[in-house]
Amino acid sequence: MNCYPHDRVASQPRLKIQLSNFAEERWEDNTFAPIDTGFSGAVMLPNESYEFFMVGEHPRSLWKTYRTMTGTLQMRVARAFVETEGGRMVETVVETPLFGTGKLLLGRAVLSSLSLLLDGPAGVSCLVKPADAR
Amino acid sequence: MTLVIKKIDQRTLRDLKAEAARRGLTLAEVFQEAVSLWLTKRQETPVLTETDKNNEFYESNEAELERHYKGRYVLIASARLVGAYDDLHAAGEAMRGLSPRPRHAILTKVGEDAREFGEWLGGSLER
Repeated sequence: MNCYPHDRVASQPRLKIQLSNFAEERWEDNTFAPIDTGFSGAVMLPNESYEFFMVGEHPRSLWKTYRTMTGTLQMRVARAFVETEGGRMVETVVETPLFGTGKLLLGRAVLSSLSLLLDGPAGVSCLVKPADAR
Repeated sequence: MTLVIKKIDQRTLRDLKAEAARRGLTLAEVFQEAVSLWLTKRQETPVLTETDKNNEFYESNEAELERHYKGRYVLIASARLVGAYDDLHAAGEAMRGLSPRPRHAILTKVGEDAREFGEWLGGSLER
């Protein structure tokens, strides 16, 4: 079981992931992505990070629309791969807002395929069992 | 940091110095601002253009792609069809072989990728 400390500043639970673009080229090493169960998508990225994945972008007619607390938000979408520690590389999508800066987040489309233990008092998130993500 | 620039046009340099003096800026400050503006412009323009061109190609050929490549991955770059592939790894290999390497390309599984809707509620919105 791999455990990762929560973000010190925001006390936010995080997971270590490895992202690659669809051409299987790695994007940075061992990214700590904040967990956000309020985000139904897979992986959100800041605009500048998303550029690396734009070699496999969906047509704009298929970009995703999100309902948020302040209205709707359109996201650009690109095919990618995500890997958790001890798991295998699985296909996913990365997204970034069409308007706005975006941020790094791990959403439910990935989280729902993992067995996770969120230990608040200990300030760690543990990956009990890596599994296929979507 | 000190930077030496050779072969700069004398007239351009004279105009630049005069404009800097009028604005109360040093030559280094003007240079810094000019470079930042140029970099921003260079980053935005080609990416937008490439994205638009690839999407225009996709939109004008969507029906034909549906007819010929349903269920396959199609890769569009530089406003042309690079190829159609049965699996993602083959499409990735094709992308890795492209030269010059595009900054933007469209990859879609014809007839299977669909427009999706989601929600992003609360959570990290405020941070």
